[in-house]
Amino acid sequence: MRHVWLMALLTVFVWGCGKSDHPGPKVADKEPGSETTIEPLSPAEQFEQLNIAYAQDLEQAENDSRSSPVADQYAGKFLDLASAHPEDRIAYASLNWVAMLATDPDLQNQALDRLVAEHMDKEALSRVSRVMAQRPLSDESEVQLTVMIEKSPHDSVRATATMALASQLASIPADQQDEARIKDLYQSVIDQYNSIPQLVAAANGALAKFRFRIGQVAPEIEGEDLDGQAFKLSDYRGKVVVIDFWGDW
Amino acid sequence: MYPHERSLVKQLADKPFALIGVNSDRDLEKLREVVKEKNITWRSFWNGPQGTGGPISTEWGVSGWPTIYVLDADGKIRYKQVRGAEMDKAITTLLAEMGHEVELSHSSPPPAGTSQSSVRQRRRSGGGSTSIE
Repeated sequence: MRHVWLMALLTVFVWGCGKSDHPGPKVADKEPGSETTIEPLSPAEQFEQLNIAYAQDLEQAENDSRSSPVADQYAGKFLDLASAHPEDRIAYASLNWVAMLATDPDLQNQALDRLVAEHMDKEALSRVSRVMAQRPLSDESEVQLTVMIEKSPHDSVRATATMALASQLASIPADQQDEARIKDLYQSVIDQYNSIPQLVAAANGALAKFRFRIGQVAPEIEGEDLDGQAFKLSDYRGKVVVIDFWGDW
Repeated sequence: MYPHERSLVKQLADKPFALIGVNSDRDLEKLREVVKEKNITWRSFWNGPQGTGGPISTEWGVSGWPTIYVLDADGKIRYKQVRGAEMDKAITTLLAEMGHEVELSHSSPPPAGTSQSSVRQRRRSGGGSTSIE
């Protein structure tokens, strides 16, 4: 009987060695699945585990109506994970996680600085720069976005970073804005990225707002009246003019 | 809107003032009847058959109707989205800059400056849907 057991164990061992590098004989003694607790977790598994813990914590925080930013408490762990495995694809995912979800600007900047320093080849940076468009202007963000505009090999990243920088610059009070620089940025999107029509449309819309600010000379309107007679807005130069965009509906 | 605008045009007939419409109705024939019926005495550009998606309102970035711009004699934009008493004040201020002191009075007093909440929003596509902001 004992002999049969040994044979069986040996078979499992040999078979196990052929399939994977799990420590052979012990596998047979263990419950299925428990070997993952012996093996060090792969970077991807660590990422997953952190993410799950974060999600559970977030849910708990919502139930307790705690207001402390849960993501910020996990940001350090994700940054460490990225540092421990700089060559693994999980490094980008971890930095991206912090850049997108952290609320503390210092944490965001730690991740963003490393993304632009170490991951300029990634096209997914366009998603990061889209999120940055909604954030306030800072010295750090200006540098990060400028580096993306200058160094990224991807049109989509350069274009979204250009839009993000322009909208950050346009988010400060109007009298402190560098209007010429903002307009140049929007214009460069229109000139260079006609492969991305939705960004070109957004840049056109943003420029239109500048053209129709108070103090600007209104552009010419040339058209026909309701009887088909041609006339121009400039026919009324020298008069106070109320322009009423109307419809009878 | 129409009575207030008609009153403005009438009272300022001998002043350097013009009210110019940009109309975004799609159906020009119907619109001509409306102009007659409602005694719309001022001139309008027609925004074309695309209605609210026509070229003039698109270039000007107009996304809500009505939208008002008030220009001074040099063609500079001086006020936006002024209505009622606010519009009167904008006009008299600009006319005063040109040396024309004017007092405006309307038989039915214009509503006080209207806030955005009463502005009817309409999709660019010109579809029938309207919603209150």
